[in-house]
Formats: sequence, C-alpha cells, structure tokens
Amino acid sequence: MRLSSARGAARNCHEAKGSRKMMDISLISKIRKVILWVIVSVTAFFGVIAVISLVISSGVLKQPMQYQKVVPQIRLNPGERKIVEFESFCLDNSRGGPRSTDAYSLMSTPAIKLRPYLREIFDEYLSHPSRWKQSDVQQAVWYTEGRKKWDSLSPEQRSMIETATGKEDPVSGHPVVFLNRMTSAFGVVVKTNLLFIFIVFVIVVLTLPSPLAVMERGLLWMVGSRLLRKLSESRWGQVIHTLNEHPYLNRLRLHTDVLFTRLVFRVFSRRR
Amino acid sequence: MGFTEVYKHILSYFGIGFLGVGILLSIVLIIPAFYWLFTALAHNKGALVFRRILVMLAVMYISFSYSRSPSFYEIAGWWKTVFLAGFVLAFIVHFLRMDIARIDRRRDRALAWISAVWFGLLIFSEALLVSWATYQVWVLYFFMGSAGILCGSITGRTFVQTARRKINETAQAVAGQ
Repeated sequence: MRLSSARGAARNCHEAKGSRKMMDISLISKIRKVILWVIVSVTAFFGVIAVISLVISSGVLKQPMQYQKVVPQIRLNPGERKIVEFESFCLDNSRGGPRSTDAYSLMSTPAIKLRPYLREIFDEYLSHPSRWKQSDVQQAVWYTEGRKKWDSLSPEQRSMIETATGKEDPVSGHPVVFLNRMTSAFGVVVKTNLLFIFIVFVIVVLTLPSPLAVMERGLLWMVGSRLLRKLSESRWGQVIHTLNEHPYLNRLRLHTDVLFTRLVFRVFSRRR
Repeated sequence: MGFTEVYKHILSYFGIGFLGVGILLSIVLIIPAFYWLFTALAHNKGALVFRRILVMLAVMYISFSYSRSPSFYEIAGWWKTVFLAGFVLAFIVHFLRMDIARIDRRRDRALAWISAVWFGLLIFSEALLVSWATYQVWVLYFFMGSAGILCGSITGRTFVQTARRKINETAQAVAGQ
C-alpha cells in the first residue's frame, strides 16, 4: 500500500515536471502568421511601386552605355603583366586622397546604376572625349553627389552637365540625390545612435536589478509618469521583468563573476 | 525616365521618410540611453563583472564600427594603437591605485564620468560629420583614446574590486582561524 502510494506520488511528480517543460505550440502558428503577413506586405509594397514605375516609364528605352565601345576589355593570361593607361574619376568628393599603400582593384561600381545623371555624364564624355576637359567632367561627377551648388560651377562645367542631361541644374530637388546626400551624412550617425540605444537597452534589461525603474527614470523627462506606469504594467514590462529574473540569466551572471574572481585569484597566486 | 529610375525615384521618397524617422528616434532616445549607460556603470552592486564586461564589449563595438565607417577614411590604421594605449594606461593606473582605491562606495562615479567624456566626444564627432566637416581626425583619435581609457578603466576597476574583495575574505578567514 505504501509502495503503490509512493509510486503514484512519483508519477504525479514526473507528470508535473513534464507539464512544466511542455512547449506552447500556439506560438509557432503566431510566428508563422507574422512571417506570412510580413512577406505579403513587403511584396505588395514593392510590387505596387514597381507597377506604378512600369506605367510611368512605359515606352522609354534604356540609354545604352558607351563605355564598352571606347575602353577595350582587359584579358590577362596566368602570369601575364600588362600596362594599361586610362583616365579615372573620383566618385566621392568627401573621401581622402588615396595613399601609395592602398590596394587598387578594377571593378564595376554600383554608383553608375544608383546615382542619377552619372551614366549620362560619362556617356557624353566618352562620346565626345575631345570636346570636354577631364577637370570639368570631374566637377560634373562630383556635382551628381548633390554637395556642389550649380552657381559654384564654371560655364563649361554647366554646359557639360546640360548637354549630358538635357536639363539645367538637374540635381536640385531630386529625391534620390537628396536621400544619398542625407544618408552619407546622417546614415552613420543614425546607425551608431540606434545601435547604441539598442545595446544599452539590452544591457539594462539583462544586468540591472530593477531595469524598469531605471528605464522609467531615463524616460521621465519626455513621457508622463502615468504612461510609464502603464508601460511597465503592460505585457512588454512583464516580458522585461521575466527576462531579467530568468534563472539561466542568473546562473550566467553568477558564473561570470565566479570565473572572473578565479582569474584574478590565479593572477595573484602566481605573483606570490 | 526608365523603369529603374522611376522605381528608385518613388522608393527614395520612402527612404527619406524612414531616414527622417531614424534621425528623430536617434535624437530623442539618445538621452535616456546615455542615462541608462551612466546608471549601468555607476551601479556598484549586483552582478558587477557580468554587467561591466557587457558594457565594455558594447563600447568597443560601437567605437570600432563608428571609426571604421567610410566617412573616416583619414583616420588610417593608428586608431587601434591609440585605443590599446588608452586601455593599457587606464588599466595600469587602476592597478597601481589598488591599495588606496575605495571599492565600497554605493555608486562608482569615476567610471560614469569617463563614459560621459566618451559619449560627449561621440556626439561632438557626429555633429562635425553632419555639418560636413570632413577633416576631424584629431577628434576621432581623442574619441578612440577615451574609448580605450573607458574600457581599460572598466577592466582595471573590476579587477581591483574583485582582488580587494578576495583579499578581504582571505584576511577574515585567517583572522577567524
């Protein structure tokens, strides 16, 4: 009788442990739904823009690039060396001058496809190389970055750009050029700052004893205390709290402390 | 305009919008993020080693990825040496102050102030970058030096605190015997 009751207790205990470890399968279907919706939304977003672009641009043929006609293909056999002289242009005015130790490689650049009017300027120069000076073409190339003002260009440089693009001051107000210009300046800053914010947020959640209180104090200058209280009592607040007090995380913190203490102790033991 | 040009043209408007949101978010949230970093470094209780190692890795990752961005071509390869020099110097200073350093304070303000210098230089460098100041190599070297000093101080301070705690424990155990 005692034996059977003991077995029953053991089975109950085992079942209890099993139920604690059971996985919530409903989460998988939720994740599947989210992934599906993200894919459909992204496809619809880019698809609608593609259709609009197709309608607007219908009937316009892509201008062929003249580059291949003017510059011969360079083919090298194994161990062969060739000296080829050619003109080159700097695409980025803000970069420093190349050093003698820098490695060079000949490769196609996405700037031709991405930067507006660059292709037209090179096409014009390669079609009429004797008509334009290399320095004027270089200024025109830098102009496509959007940092040079139309008024700062010489009449020859303006004439070169007008002939190539068929427009006066074509870069002004162009959204692609504006975005490129803004991204080259703000891109690094935004990336660094958002990365910093995210990493510090993770550090606070994982390492401080009461992360929600610290976060509230940090956000208090711009968000009302009632909203902050609501946020901390919401599901996200609970997730942060649960994560902060997770037993695995506690074990990791403890092990790191112990390992570091052992390392320090070993260093001092050797010194003796 | 061809298909690709029109496609890029329309997408760029969304890009400008996303970039604008990113700029706003980074301006608004950078202040609480700095307060969180300040608090995380100043807090002198709990899982100290774990927290400080994570902060050190974060500082290193952000500093390195920022300096390696294409806008700072002129910084060349010496920033690693500057970082390392700052790290070693800060570690040695903390190590040599081991016997006089006060480790029992509730808040470690020294580390927090060094992090404030590092953060200030980062923001100053970002402001120069946004205002099209192309040549800011000295600011970058100061920034990397401060990153090295911060990381060295974090390591040194934690090392000293752990050693002192261990020594105190050993002394108490010997006295108990």
